[in-house]
Amino acid sequence: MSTSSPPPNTPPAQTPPPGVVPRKRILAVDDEPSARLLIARVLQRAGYEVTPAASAEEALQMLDEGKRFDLLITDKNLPRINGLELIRKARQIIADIPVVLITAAPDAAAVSGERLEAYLAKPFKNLNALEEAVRTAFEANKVHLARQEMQRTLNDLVSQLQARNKTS
Amino acid sequence: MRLSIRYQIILLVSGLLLGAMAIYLTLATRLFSADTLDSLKASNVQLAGTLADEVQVNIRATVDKLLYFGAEQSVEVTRPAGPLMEADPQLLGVEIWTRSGGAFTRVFHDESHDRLRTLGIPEDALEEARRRYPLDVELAHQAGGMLLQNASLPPRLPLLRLTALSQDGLTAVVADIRPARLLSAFGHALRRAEAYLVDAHGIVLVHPDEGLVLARTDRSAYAAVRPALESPGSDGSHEYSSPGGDKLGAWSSVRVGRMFVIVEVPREESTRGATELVRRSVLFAMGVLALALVLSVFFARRLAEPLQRLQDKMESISRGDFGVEVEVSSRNEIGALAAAFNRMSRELATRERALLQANQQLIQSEKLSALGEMSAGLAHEVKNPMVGICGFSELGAHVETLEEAREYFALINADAQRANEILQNLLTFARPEAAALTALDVNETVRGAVRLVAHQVQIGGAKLVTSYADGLPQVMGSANQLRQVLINLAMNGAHAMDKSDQRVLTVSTALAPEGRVLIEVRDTGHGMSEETLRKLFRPFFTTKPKGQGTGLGLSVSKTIIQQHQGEISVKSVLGQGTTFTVVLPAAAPGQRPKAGGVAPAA
Repeated sequence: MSTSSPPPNTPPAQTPPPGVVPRKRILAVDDEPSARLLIARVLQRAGYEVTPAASAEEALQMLDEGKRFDLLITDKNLPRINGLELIRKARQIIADIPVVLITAAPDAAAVSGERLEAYLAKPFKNLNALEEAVRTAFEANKVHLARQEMQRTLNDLVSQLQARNKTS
Repeated sequence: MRLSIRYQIILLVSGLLLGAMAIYLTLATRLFSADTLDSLKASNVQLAGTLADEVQVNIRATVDKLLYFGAEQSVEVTRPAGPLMEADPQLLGVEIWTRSGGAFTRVFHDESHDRLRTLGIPEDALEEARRRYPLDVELAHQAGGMLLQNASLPPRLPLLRLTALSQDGLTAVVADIRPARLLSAFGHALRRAEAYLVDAHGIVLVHPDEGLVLARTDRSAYAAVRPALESPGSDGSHEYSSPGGDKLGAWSSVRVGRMFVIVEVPREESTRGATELVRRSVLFAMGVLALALVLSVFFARRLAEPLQRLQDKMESISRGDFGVEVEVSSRNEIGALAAAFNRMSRELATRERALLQANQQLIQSEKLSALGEMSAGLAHEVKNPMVGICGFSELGAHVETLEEAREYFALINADAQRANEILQNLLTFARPEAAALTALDVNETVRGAVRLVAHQVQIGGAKLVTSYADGLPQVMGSANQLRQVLINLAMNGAHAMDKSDQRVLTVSTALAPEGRVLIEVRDTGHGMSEETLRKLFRPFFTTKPKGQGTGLGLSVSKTIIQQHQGEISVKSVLGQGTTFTVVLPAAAPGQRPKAGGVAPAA
């Protein structure tokens, strides 16, 4: 489906116009065909490039093949390898990839210790909620990356200071 | 061999009756025969005496006639013997001898030629007999003036010669007599008694068997005769053995002519009365016994027939056919028994109904309890199609083309159908069903159950693995109840894995030996201790905290499986997991569901 020009009254219209910035690539994993299709359609309309996968295995295979993704959105309940496991494995390949977890119980998922940028409950309250979650995840990731950067800078400064103290 | 009670009784009574009779008869016979032996001896002596008297009187009369005739002849010698002959039909001839000088000479003789001719005896035969047994005055004198001799000439002429000496001893009259006349007295012998007359040498003179007389049989050696010959003039009786068996004998001396009457009776004659008594008693007893047997068989049959009916009905009750009743016709104890049986049967039927109903209610309430536990998973299951329905309907509000709208409508419709299907499945399971047994595809039933619990299991973070064997026979059962069992087992399995690292729930079907079908639910949970395993299927046993679980799940499951003639078993290793195995018999081809096995809830 063409995403060149979204209709004027489309809710996710605030996205940066395509072409200017390279479109973000999203890996969407859900074993339910209709949910998978819905997520893909909605996010494509919002200007993202969406690659659907029906299972954790399929998603991991694409990651292993070296395909680059900017965000992972996955259902928690997947057959065989569940959503949280998938997230852990994906981050072994793309360390800082932001994640949207589709789950009815965010608290239970938080226990896993995995960093989760955003949660989403099924069925989606509305389609904006889906886009909102994706945006939130990107923002959270930016913050996360910035904090990491600052942490690194801080660490560098600290180590330089320590080195200087030693030599002096 | 097993005899029915009635024949046992009949045999017992018959045996007792026969035994009592045998004792009675033995005693009676002993008393009776001791008595009859004495009376028989006495009657023998009496008979011998009577016969001796008769012989004496008879001979004396004949001798008197002969001497009278002899005296007349000495006066008028030419007179024929005709009148004398006529007076005695047994007389064949007569001789008169007189003494002249030292010796006796025959002075007269006469014969009845008619009688000799009639009897077929030639006249010279009579003369021959007279020559062979001539007048023996010396012997006649010793015998008291008269002498009876057997002068038979075998083979044709039985003949007695009676010699009578006159008082003065000068005349002797000798008569030739056929023995038949004297015989008549001996012919009347008592029953089996043998009575006969012998002379001083033991030669038979008179005997009912004329052949013995004709043969001049010598009986001097006979045990019956010897004591008579040894002590002439005496009477007596004695017992002795002879070739013909034990006998009772009696003898009596005739007072003239040195003759003896001998009477012989078989000794058994004394027990004859007793034997006859025994024989008749035995016959009578046999008759009574046979009649009693026939009657008792008849009555026993009449008695046993209602009992037999009662037994048949009891057997049908023991096969589970409650509520049958037996007709009460007799008003005796059997009638009372039948009435009691009917009450019991009705009571059993009522209780069976109540039990089935309670059982059904229990199954239903346990099912609802399981449904409650499954609610979270079920909600999730319904939510999945809701994602599509909500999402596509919202997306549909912004479509640009009709094709796009059509696509969304189709997707919404498919998801709505799916949601409906799930709810329908749930409703079917929750509804109290008339649990008629039908032929079921086991795999289909298991799939239905797995669909209902799949999410619940996955919410717990467990993997659900299913494996269905091909070519399984159908089983007779209630799909809903079997599903209930499987849901129960799967939920238990999921719970058992709450704290496990590895969480795999495996549900599989397979062909079991003897053409049965096996369903297995295996978890990798914490397993169970021996203690828990022992109590597992008891009602109200639960390892869950208070307020969670009724403790009836496995107990109800077991009831359901038993109602399906199946078996449920469990194997468990602590820390490794538990396996529940359900084995169900295959439905026989064309098998009719058995009513009442699983009755519908009221």
